[in-house]
Amino acid sequence: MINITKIQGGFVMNKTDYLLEGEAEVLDTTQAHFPTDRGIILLDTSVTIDEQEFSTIQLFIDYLYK
Amino acid sequence: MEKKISQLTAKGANLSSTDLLEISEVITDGYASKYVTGAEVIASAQTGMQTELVSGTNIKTINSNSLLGSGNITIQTNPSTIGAANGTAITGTTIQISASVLIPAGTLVANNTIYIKAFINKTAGTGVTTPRYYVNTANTLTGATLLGAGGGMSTSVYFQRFERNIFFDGTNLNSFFAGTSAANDYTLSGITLTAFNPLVDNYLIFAISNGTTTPDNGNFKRVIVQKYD
Repeated sequence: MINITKIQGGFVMNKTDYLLEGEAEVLDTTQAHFPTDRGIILLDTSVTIDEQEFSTIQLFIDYLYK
Repeated sequence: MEKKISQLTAKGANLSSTDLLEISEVITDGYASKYVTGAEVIASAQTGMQTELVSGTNIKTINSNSLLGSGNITIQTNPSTIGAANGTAITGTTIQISASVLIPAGTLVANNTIYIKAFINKTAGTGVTTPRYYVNTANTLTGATLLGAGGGMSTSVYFQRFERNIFFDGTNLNSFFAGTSAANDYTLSGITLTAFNPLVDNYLIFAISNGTTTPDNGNFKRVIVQKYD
């Protein structure tokens, strides 16, 4: 399981900073594409943010972008 | 009359298998003859020696060219195949891996080009099947970076020839704009730059999602990834 850390305007994954550059594209209830300065990243609900789990990708997005 | 071997008259011809090399030994009541045949001498001399090579008989040829003789035979190594995979059919609306190809650490250097050619098919369903491909340092879609998408396959579109050229500049993969869905990159487009570390293993991941559930079943049935120096 991957955990990412939320930072101002983006997140850190595997010790690399990713800055969000647009809205997420929801692919289904568990997956979404996230446009970042390092490309479009696929994340899903198997990923935790700041050790928090999310039951849907929309909740995941809401937390990451708020 | 006794005579030394060195005093014998030379035969003056090659040893043949039927020749006899005789030696007489003095015994109490006369002489005893001992001999070896020419065939035995020849066989003994040839023990451990390699049989004469005859092209196409006991040594193979390459593209019908003989390997005998001196010099170098240049083997074409550009392009080289990085890997190939037979995909599995994917059902369901979630993006899932159909096929993946490992790019081992150290495979790419600056100014190499990756050439991807793939055959995508589906055998059932009328919903939109979307093929995509990603790169990741692990063989998983989670955290993978989208490199592009093939053409959507709906109604009776059950075949797609998918092709991409990706230039590696030493830092980034330079590819056809990831946000544009297309079967190939023959046309003009924006460019997508994707950071790539060639010193670690990377996977090219070929994934499928379907607009509807079963029976739609997209498949990267065959993927070949080549490298051009």
